[in-house]
Formats: sequence, C-alpha cells, structure tokens
Amino acid sequence: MNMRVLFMGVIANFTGERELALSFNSAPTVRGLLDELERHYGSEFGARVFRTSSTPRLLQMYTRIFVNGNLVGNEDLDKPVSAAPADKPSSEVLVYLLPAACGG
Amino acid sequence: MNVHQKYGPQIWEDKKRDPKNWEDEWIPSACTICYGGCSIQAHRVNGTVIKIEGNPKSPIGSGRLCAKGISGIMLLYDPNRLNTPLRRTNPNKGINVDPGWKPISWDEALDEVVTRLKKLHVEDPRQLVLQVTTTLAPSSLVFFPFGWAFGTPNMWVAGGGVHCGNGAHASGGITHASWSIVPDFKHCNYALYFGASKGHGAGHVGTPNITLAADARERGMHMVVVDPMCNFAAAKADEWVPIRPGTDAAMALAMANCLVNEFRIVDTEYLRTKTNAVYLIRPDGTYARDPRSGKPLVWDDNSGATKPYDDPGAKHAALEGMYQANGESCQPAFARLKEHLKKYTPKRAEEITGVPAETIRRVAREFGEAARVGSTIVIDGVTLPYRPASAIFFRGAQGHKNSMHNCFAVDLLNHIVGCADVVGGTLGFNPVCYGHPETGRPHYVPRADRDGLMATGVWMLPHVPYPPAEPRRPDSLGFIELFALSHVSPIMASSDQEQCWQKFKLPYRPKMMINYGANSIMSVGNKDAVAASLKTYDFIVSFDIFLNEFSDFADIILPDACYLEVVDPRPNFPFIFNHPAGEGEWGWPIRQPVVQPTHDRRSARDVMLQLAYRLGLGAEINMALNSYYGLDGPEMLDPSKVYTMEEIADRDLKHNFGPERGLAWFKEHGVITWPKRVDEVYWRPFLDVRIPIYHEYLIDLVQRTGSICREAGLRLDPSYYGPCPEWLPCPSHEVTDPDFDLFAFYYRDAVQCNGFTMENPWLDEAARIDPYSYRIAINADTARRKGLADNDVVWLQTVTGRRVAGRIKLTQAVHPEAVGIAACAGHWSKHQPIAQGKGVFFNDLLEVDFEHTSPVNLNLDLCTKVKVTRHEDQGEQYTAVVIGQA
Ligand code: SF4
Repeated sequence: MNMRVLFMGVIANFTGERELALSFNSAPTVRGLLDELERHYGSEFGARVFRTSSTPRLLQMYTRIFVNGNLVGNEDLDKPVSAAPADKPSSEVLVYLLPAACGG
Repeated sequence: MNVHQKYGPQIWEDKKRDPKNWEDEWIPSACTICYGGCSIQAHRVNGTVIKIEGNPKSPIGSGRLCAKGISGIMLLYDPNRLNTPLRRTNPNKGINVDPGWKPISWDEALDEVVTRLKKLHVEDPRQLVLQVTTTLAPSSLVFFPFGWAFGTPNMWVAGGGVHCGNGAHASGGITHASWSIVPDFKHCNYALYFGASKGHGAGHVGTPNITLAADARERGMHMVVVDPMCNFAAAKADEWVPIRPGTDAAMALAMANCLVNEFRIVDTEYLRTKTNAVYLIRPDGTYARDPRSGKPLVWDDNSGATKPYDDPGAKHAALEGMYQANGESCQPAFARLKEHLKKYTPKRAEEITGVPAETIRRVAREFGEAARVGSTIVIDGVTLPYRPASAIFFRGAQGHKNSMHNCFAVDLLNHIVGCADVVGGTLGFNPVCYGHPETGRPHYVPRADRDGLMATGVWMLPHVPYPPAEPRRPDSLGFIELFALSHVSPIMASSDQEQCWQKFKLPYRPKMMINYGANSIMSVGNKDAVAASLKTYDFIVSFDIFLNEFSDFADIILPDACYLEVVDPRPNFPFIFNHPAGEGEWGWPIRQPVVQPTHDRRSARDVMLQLAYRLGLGAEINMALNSYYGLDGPEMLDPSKVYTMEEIADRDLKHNFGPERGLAWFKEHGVITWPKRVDEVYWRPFLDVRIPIYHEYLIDLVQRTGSICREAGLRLDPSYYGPCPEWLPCPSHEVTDPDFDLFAFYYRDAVQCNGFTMENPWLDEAARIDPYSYRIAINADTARRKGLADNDVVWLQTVTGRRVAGRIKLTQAVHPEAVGIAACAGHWSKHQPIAQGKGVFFNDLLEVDFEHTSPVNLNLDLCTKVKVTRHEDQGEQYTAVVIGQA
C-alpha cells in the first residue's frame, strides 16, 4: 500500500519536513502507522501525538489525524488505514497538531 | 434621523398605504453583548432594526433577554461607532496622547498590515501577539486558527480571561468535565453560592439561568449566598452570609470538616466508585501503585489485600484505616483528607472569614441534610441518585492568589455528599452530548484517563486541565506551557514581564499585535503596567467598534462590523460554555447578519481570513479551521482553496446536521433543537470515570514546574500545590498597616458587561438610576466611623500607592471590612461620550505581576487592601455620578 503522510501545524516543526511517502506490504493500522512515524522521527514525535500516560496510548486532545479526508478518533486507531480513493494514487494521512498551549 | 423619529406612529400608516413594498421581518440570531450568546430575534422594518427580543424557539433564553440584550440596538446605531480605517499621525504613544487619527482606505491599511506580517513571519512568527476580548471570545474562532497558521503561540483573552476563569474553568474541567458549574435548578432544594451570581446576572448561560433560578426559587429552592456583598444573588436569597474577600476556602473547608468529622454526612458509595477517595496514599503523599500495572492501589476489605483500583474484585475498597502496601503504611485518600480537614475548625474559620462558627456549622448541616444521601428518584423511567443540594463558586471565590484551592475547597462539598452531576445536585454545563439523533453530532463524552481520573470530552482550548500537560520551558510570552493548569496569563501585560522573559532567556520579544475588541488598558489591571507593555510593540492593529482607551496605543484602527452584522455558525458551541444545564432541549442557534454593515465597516473575521490567504497561509488556515471545527469528509475545507466565512459556516452546519441543513436552512430557522437524553443530563452514574478529591497529580506537577522555575531563578511557592485543598492568604490578607483597613473588590454589574457596554445610552440610564452602579458601596457604619457621608467623593489607595476616586454609597449590604465596586467603569476616552467619566476604574488598583498571580493557574489576585480618605475635591468632575441621585 502506498501512502502519502502530510504534516501540518506544530508537528511540522518536529518532523522538519511536511511530507513523507511510505510503502507497506499491507495496510497498517493508524496506530501502526503512527508507531512507524515515531520510530522514524524519534520519541518526541510520539510524545507530542500521544498521551504517554495511558496504555494503549490515546491521542493528545490537540492531535488531529485525517485519513483520506476523514477525522480519526481514539476508537479508530486500531483500524487499518483506508484504501486510496479512486481519484488518488495513494492513501493520504494528514497529521495536524494544534499548539499544546494557547491563550497566552 | 434617528430610529425613533423614523419609526414613530406614522410608519404604520405608511405600511397600510403600501403593504407590498413594505419589509417587516423578524430575523433569528444571537446576542453577543456578553458571552452568554442568548438567542434573539431582531425586528427589521425596511432595512432598519427597530427592536430586539428573545427567540422563544431556542432553549438559549427561551424568548427572554436581559437589559443588555434588548439594548443592542443602541450599539448598532451608535453615532460614535468607527466608520472607516484610521492611521495614527502622531508617533508618540501614551495614555491620553492624541494619536492624530487620519482616515485611510482598507487597501492602504491592509497593504501595510500584510507587509509587516510577511516580514515578521520570515523573521520569527512568535513576535506576533493576537489579543481578543472576553466578550467576543466565543466569536473569535478565526483568530486562534490564524495564530496557529501563522505560527505564533502568543494569543490571549485580555482582561476577563485572567480575572474570572483560570481557576473556575480548570476546576470545573477536572471534576465536572465542564467550563463551569451550576445547580440543577429544576430539582435542587438547597443552593449554596460562594462569590457567584449564576442565574442572577452572570454571563454564562445568562438569561436561561435567570429563568431557571427564578422558577427554582418559586418552587421553594432554599438559597444561601456567601459573598462580601448582598447584591444580585444574595439580595434574592434566603440568607446572605457576609464574608471577608478571599477567604471562601476557609469556610468551605470548615463545612467539609463538619460534614465528615462531626455530622458524618458522607456519600460513601459515591466516594468509593466515583472518586479517588479509596486510592492508597503513601507517606510521601503519592499513590501506592501496583508494581506490575502502575495503577493506583486500593485496600479491598473483602479479601484483606491491595488491588488495583479497577480490579473487578475490589468492590469493597476501604475509605478509612491504615494498610500495608508495597511494604509501606498507607491510608486511603479519604482518610488523609479527613485528617487534613480537622485543622479547619469552625472557630478557626471564623477568625479567617469573619463568619460566626455557629453559622458555618449550621449551613454545613443544612447542606448535608438537604443532600438526602442515599435517596433515589425516577426520571424518564430510570432510577437515579437524588442529591438536591449544590455548592457553586465563581469569580468572587476564585479570583485570588489561592485560586485553585478556593475552587477545590468549595467543590469538595459536592463530592462529600455525592451531589455531582446527579439529580438536584451541582451540574457541569453539559459535558456529555451524544449528538443530534439523525447525525450523531456533535458528540463528546468524558473518559477515564491517567489513573482512572476523568478527562473532559470537549474543551474550549487545545490544552485540557486533566491530565495536566507535561510542564515545559516556556516558548510563549505568557508561560502557559510551564503552568499546565492555566488558560490565560497576566504575564502578557505584567509590570515584570521583561524580568520573567529574561529569566527564561526567551529569544524574542513581541513586536506586533492584532487586537480584536479588547480594551486591555482598562480590563487587565493598573493602566501603567499595561501601557508600559503596549509601548514596547512596534506596531498594533486594532479591530474595534469604537475608539477607546486602548486605541491610544494602536497604529491602525480597523472598523469592525458588530454582532448584528456578522455570521457565526456556532455562537454557543461547545455546550460546556454556554448552554443551559439540566433537563430540556439541546439547541444550536446561529448568529447571522440582521443588517449589512454600513459605512466602511467589515467583519474582522472576514478580514483575518483574507489576510491569511494574502499571506500565502491558505493551506495552514484551512487545516487549522478543519482541525478546530472538526470538519472532515465532504465538508472538509480543501487546503488549496479560498473560502469566505459564510462558506465555512455552511460546511460546519452541514457537517453537524446533514447536507440539507446548511447556512440557508439555519438562516431561515435560526436554531435546531432536539431533546436531551437522561444519560446526557445526569451522566455521572452512567460513566465509569472518577474525579480527584485528593489532588495527587499536583505533587508531581509542582516538582516538574518547580524544577524548571528553579533553573531559571523564578521562585515558586509549593504550598499552593498541596494535594488537599487549603486556605492560603492573598497579599491583601497580609497587610498590617492599620490605615489600610478595607478590602476592595469589584463585582459584575447586572446591567453592564465589562467596560464595553458603558457607552450604551439605555444601559447608562439604567445604571444612573441604580444607586450602586457608578458608586463605591461602603458599609454605612464603617463610613460613619470614618466621618464619611453618603455621596462623598473619596480616594481608595493601596499600600503600593495606587489610587482611584469615586463617590460612595452608604449601605448595610456590604461587609463592614470591604468596599465593593461595580463593573469595569471609569472610562476617560472622549470617543465614548456616554461612558466617559462615570463610575470607578477599580482595575487601576490591581498590581499585575507574578507576586499577585496564582502560582498554579496564573489567575490574577483581584482583592486589594485600601485606605479610604475623603477627596480634597468634592466637585464637578463627578457630576455624571451625581445624576444618579435623582
Ligand atoms: S445575558 Fe448576555 S448574551 Fe444574554 S441577552 Fe444578556 S447580554 Fe445578551
């Protein structure tokens, strides 16, 4: 499965790049993909995206994951990344982080 | 020609003559005079709004408005409103220094703003500060996404934000999953208010709560108000308990002591299953944990062994006693708390609060007995716990250096007797929503998080109160990342901000500000501190309705459309902010233009969107909006496209309510309603979540926050982070000079909202009739002892030499050791001729520095000790106030 991962918002500062192309033999779960990204970018990526305090890990309140344009919640993390829509060459996963702190 | 001249009786004759060409419309929308967002309908005749009423179809007010709401028409047509962009010609900035405003075109204004923003974005986007006002905060949704898209963490709600919410909202979030708390008016029999006016003029859920509270009083709900002043809530209560400002926690803790140690009125089942009361506490104050899972342990009486708190076998967890866990002697958290409370005897509390010990004991007993621990009631066929007693707090109790513990102390009363989010008890504002039956949206539910304690299902800001975020060395100007339980920080305008930034070696300074309607010169604290902070900016752009005291520091002024001229798809969402709690209906109204903006006024939100697109941040702002509004699927904003606010509103509404219910549907209907479910209203028994009565997480938090502060040389007082609620003094309680013998405090006037409404002539008329609105309320006996008479002009002076003047009103309705001042008054800007010179500028007495800030949640301390002396000049400059005597 081909996948295009986009990073926007604060997380792009950690990844240092805004886009990554990945290829998998079969569709990973969303959690599996995020674990893979953590291995790639380091533990700080995981600490920003997940709450470290819970097992299995829950997303931070300010993390947004869009899989092919659909928002994914904690209840969807263990589902496979959906196949690419007909008009797209690969599945697209967008990771967006709102700032952890705002309000001054 | 004014509205009254144009629409006198003659117009109805004209209508009869030419009915076809006659426009006569009622347009549903939402009020924004305060943040209550009550649903309105505006009567528009031939393009002119002639009346504003409540919208009876919406549960957000059910057809009723407060005095401010109906006066919105005077804001819309105020001849002093800004009509065109302005640019300063005088480079010198200062309080009352005339900027020499020159009208310019929007193109000229925006070209300059874009040029400056582009430069800043390349240099360091953190140099941009976005400042919004409390009043318009719910409709400022584009501003925060703009900040995120631009890449600055520096956004703040200036004023009310550091006054009224840091403690109340964090505490509400931790224990009720909501922004605030309120009695379940429909079923509550005993309401105990600490420095709160919910249902009596408060902004949150303004008019709906007024109706609910009035119905409750008629039904016979007993109400006791603990407050330094007998005003909006206390005057209508069964009993007013006068208290020294800032000492509410001492009274609440003494009541808690009476309940658990003397009367033994305790809901043990609730404490066992819905709180951390059974978690075993080690000698160092932290949880004893299961070595394998890391989960907190409880002592199971049945098996005589420790078990993880969520072990299905731990049904009989101990609340009292001393047990061995992991080789240490441990106590259940409840036993610890019980012991801790013993030092708060009613006698000691009397010394701190001035409330007689027997009153404290009596109110505790009444409250405990009213809770009817163990009783049940059937609602919609479901048997539920019935605890018809409620203790709530708000700004009065929480606006102090000890903000966090003041809130925890009052709320503890609810948890001792189990009256939290059950029938008749204290409710969070709607923390559970399973959505509209056709779409399942909006949907949010609290869930168990770290150590089984509750995390909110939805929140106003991305950072949530529990579990607190890992404290980090600050990157933002307000240090929110360092103080995990804060929302808004006074460091944004404090007198010691430069020292704070230097301590943490912050590598940048603010250079440019975009302000949205905030008048921070008046709304934060003393004007000198805020003015000094504003003077450090290179460039300030301000969207506003009027020129005001803040405008003297702006470089470009942009004339905003007012709330009757703009669209907002979610004026009341999330429902934890402004939606009536308790049984009834859900209602999602919209705000829509009742008339189009005239002159050269534009909606600030449209302009901010355009700015983002012009800066090349289209993809960033669209994704920020998608993320913030939760837009996905077909309604997701395409990062490569340009949208208007109307288009975004349309997508937001369709996303929540289906493709057939977009903006056009809502413009016609104004509001969508659906019934609340019983498991949404009284959710606590249905969800497996616990809340802390023992705040163990504060031990870890103070260590982490403290070590970062220590490295930087910022002193953090750990006593404010204790796991058991405490009463701790404010700086005002430690003033020893006998000349400074009165506590000064301010209160929210029911006919005014912050400083913004004082320009409204109808509200001014009401305020002038009210003998208190523009005067300093002082206890009559105290005043006479000082040789002062009704209507004298006095100075109030603090120990640091700050002083304000005003006329006094002698009354028995204020504590003998306190003076009370209404609202945020005392405007001096000539551009607001109705407001100018009226009332008292209380905030000028407040220090704005770290010393006067809660070291837990950064709430500003709002009480100060003053010396009252007769003013040497009793004269003319106070004539505006004298009119009030008539
Ligand atoms: S309570 Fe606030 S929102 Fe409601 S009518 Fe009054 S001013 Fe308007």
